[in-house]
Amino acid sequence: MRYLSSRLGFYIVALWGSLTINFLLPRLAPGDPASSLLSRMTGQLTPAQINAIRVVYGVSTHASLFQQYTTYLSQLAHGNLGISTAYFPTPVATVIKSAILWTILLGTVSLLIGFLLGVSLGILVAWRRTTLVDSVVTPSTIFLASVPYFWLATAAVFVLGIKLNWLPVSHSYNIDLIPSFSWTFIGDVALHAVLPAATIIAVSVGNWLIVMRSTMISVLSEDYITMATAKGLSPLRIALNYGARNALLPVTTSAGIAVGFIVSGALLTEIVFSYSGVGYLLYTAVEGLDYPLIQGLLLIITLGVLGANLLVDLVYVLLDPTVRRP
Amino acid sequence: MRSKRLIAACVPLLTGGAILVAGCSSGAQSGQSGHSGSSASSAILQMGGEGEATIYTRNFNPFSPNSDLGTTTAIYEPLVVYTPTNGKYTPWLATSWTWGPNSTSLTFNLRHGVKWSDGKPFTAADVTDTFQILKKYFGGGGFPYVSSVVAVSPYVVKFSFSQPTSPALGQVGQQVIAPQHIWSKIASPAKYTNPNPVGTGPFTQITSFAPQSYVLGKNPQYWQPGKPYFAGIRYPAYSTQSENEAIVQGTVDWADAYIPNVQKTYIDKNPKDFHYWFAKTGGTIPLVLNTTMAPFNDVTVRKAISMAINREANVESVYGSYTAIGNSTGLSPTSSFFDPAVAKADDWTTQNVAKANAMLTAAGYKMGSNGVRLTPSGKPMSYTLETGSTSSDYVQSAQNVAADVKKIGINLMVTPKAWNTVISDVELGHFQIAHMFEQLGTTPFTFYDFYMGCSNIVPIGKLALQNFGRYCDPKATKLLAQFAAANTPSAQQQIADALQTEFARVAPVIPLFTQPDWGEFNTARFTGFPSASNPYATGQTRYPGAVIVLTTVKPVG
Amino acid sequence: MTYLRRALSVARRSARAAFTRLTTSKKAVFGAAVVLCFILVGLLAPVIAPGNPLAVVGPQNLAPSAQHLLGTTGEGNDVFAQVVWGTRNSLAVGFLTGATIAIIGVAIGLSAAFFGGWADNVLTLLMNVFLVIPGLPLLVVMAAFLPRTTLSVSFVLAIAGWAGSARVIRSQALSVVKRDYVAAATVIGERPLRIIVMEVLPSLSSLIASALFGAIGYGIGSLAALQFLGLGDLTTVSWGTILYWAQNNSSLLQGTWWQFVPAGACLALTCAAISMLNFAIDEVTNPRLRTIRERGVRLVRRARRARQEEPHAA
Repeated sequence: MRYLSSRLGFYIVALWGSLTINFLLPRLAPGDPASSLLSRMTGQLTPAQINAIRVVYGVSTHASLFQQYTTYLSQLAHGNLGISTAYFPTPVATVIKSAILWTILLGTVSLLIGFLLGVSLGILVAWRRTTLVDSVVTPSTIFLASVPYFWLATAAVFVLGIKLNWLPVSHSYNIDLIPSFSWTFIGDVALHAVLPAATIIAVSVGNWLIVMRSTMISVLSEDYITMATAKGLSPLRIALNYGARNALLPVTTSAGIAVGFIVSGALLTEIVFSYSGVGYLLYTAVEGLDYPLIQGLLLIITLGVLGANLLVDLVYVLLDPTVRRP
Repeated sequence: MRSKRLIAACVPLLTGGAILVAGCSSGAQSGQSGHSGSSASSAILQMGGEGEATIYTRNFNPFSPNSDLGTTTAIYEPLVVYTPTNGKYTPWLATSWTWGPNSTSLTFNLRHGVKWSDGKPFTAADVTDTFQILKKYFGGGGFPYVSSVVAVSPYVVKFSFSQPTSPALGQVGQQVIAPQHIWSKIASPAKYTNPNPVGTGPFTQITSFAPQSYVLGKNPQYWQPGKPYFAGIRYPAYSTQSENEAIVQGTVDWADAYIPNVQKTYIDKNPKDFHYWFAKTGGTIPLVLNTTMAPFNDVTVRKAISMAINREANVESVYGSYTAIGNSTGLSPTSSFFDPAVAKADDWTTQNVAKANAMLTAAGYKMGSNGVRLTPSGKPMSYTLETGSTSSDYVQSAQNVAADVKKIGINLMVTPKAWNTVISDVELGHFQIAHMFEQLGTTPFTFYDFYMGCSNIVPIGKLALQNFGRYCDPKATKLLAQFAAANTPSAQQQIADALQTEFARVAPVIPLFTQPDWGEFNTARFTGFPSASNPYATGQTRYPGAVIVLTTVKPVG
Repeated sequence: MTYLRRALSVARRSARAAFTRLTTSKKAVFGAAVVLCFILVGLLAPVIAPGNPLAVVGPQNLAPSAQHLLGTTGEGNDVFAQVVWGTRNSLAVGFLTGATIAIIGVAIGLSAAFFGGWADNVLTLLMNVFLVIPGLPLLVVMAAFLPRTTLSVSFVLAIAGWAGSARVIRSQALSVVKRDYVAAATVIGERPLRIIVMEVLPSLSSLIASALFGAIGYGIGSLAALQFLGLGDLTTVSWGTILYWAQNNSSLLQGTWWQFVPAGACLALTCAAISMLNFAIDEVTNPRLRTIRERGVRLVRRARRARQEEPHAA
């Protein structure tokens, strides 16, 4: 299909663009990874030892910027993301591998639940526009959507985790447990995911609701809705089969952008909850100026977002018949 | 309905997701579930984290600066262990040592009967091989003065130095030793992560490993009989915030984190079991001034700035008075070399705004119209004070200092930057004042050489690894050379006194306070931790002294 | 000249209509009131909380009292003073970022729509690339490498956030550009810049306003997030840096909630108010969302109530 192939082409360009930005950014900073190690191991390493580390890290490279760029691209093509300096000599791919699945878990759960909840609420308040439901639900979700992620997360940690001790406040699972396929472990993972996911969902529900509500209202004023009502179809059937089905299309297009927001929200949430995902890893990698790890993480995050967008486009093609014809 | 179908689809998705995550991210072996305290012999000591590590990557390479926690404190051991609280060197893998003439060589007698965790015996070959690997693959490992390491006999090793280096005892002596029969076979030691380590330390077995936490089990071949007294150590990966939370909730047995208002936040939650001890044994945190530029080349200005600072209030605001304020010797008052007489004799580390003002005016730095002084050449005395933005304690301290120094007519603009930028600035000499971290060694040589030695002066614009302020003091340099040649405590003490007097005279940097060494201990499950009344080690978990704690602590009951 | 007069009258009429509708909308009134309130607080900061907010005024971690309305921080600063003075930096940078994003968005969106062809394709591609690259990770990486001054943080935020506004404006502008009077103006030979400013811009005024408010909300929120992570200018007093220092001080662990809650509450309120304003503008400009039905229902309810009261009057 022409639509899909043009979208694919766009994603390839976007990928190249982000790879280039990815390459340039860490090189704009002064200093090198060895000096960030110096600040961490203060006073425990003699200057000679720091110098020795610099030699080992191989930071004193004299290749030109363009040469480094081509080396970088060719290494990427072979799946070589380099060796991390903060976790030297562990390869970047290994470091990311241990963290990425947690972010995917958190992100996917939050996205799905947030979407379902937001869209359902959006349908509800659009259908019951003039009642109390709309005037209560809509402003409160807008308010929730404006609260900064990290503040809500920290408040949740304090109230629900520390004061009331209802839920665990750090890590993705209880570190006393060994990861296994047992139900205790899965239950523990789910328990640890509740607060972080709830925070992200609480903030993102508002966005879904607003979009769904406005498109739903537009759709509800269409003629065929009036026709369906006149025919005597049940309100629920009209709302879902005719109203929601058509309103979902514009909402789906914004789902792609929402993935980007979920990633941002996950980053902040992970930092507050020490959730062992990719966002927190990126934050510490930036602190340690671990170029290879930063590049690898940005790449994976961008790939993820692009992939999700491609997925959304596929869903859009399924939903909207008019796009299928060339 | 569509929504129902979606929900129905989600449940297996979530479960599947959880299973996938669990399976893929573990890479774990089977093992005990690791509950601590079930019985004395199976007790597991729960550590606090490093406060920064997000994940562990199974890197137990003793030569790597990024090895996982426990590599250099539990798995591998050094020849001697230095204890800053009493200045003693405890024989460890070496039983005794003798200095050659003029401290140009150091001979260690190694302990007999030590076995590696795979059963092979520990001999001098391991020591020589370790240092050979350092030299070949790790840029010398930071011991550029070592000219040769020779196994005189299977249990005697001789280090030869290219120049007198008495501080070498604490440096080469505290280098952890790796087994020659394993490492000589590894092609690229710099890139090897050593996932299954073989060491001489108390805990060498990897009982379980996951990126978020791992357990080190007892070494069956450990050379101290009956020790260690418990089964293993668990290292979780905490962020600073969650580490504090875990400590306060009593999950952690031993940690070294900064907890603000520790009495209320931590001790009061469980006064029976929670203890803290902040040994004031860290290095001195200085304000480094660029002495190549006016007016910082004028000792009067340096001393006047120092005299404006209210060190007690600064320490109270930053660390709740948990540490010692700086004094005119530049050393911590807990150092065994500290000379209180010298500290008392000079007054430029005691706040005296009036005197500082008078000194500056008398030296020709007239007060300008807007409250900012002018140098004799007419420039207003306004400078940048930079420090690392991620060290919020230094940023706070810098702000306090700036507020104090304002009172004598000098304007300091606090400029937090990323540490890499700060380090790059000071190394190249492109700075005015910097609030830096400590430079600590087992002897005062490290500190004085770093800030007063002439041998390491590098011009502005070139990379300097030491002496960022580029201050050269010939008298101190001569004393330092004498110190390096002296290897008895009494001889060293005499020279150290002279060095302290010289430091107090020329004030090359401004000492603010001592970096505290943190320590929190939970005695619900284990006893025997160091404390103020029993300072056999500090509370630090990452540095060589930790192995003494690990072999002293016992489970309760 | 007639074109100018006509453009201005169109703008004036739609503005007036929008204005009356806005002032009756509860959401808009609430939003505007809150924002104005904070602007006032920021402007009057030296009056409300005189002195240097970074000055040490007492013992650390004091609970709220008559002397210190919101208690003191971990360093002994007055929390109330910091929150009040912090309003300035948060709002100023937020507005600056919002304005920058709006200007860039309008410029690029309009140009893409008006000039069409390959210019449109290139600009759209640029927009989509920036939209798809995840915002906060990019912000974190950029902010870590650039100097930590207010201006550079604002610049970083604008770079990461302009694409959203640009795309929205472009899609609306596309339909405006196809209208008759624009075609007429082009045929007559008016200069492109004049057409854009006189013909296209007025019809987009409400959308631009909405984009502006959205960008301001984004600016304030993202600035706070960056500062909270420690990537902003730590020596300024701003809501985000207050939260950073509170986090550093482990204020939640210590139980000193007054160091954390007020700044966050202000942030939430301000962002919510701007969101409300945005939402209200959306309602006002989108005829389908208009509340005619609501007014009708209100009339019916009033009549019903009146009928119920009649038996008593009788």
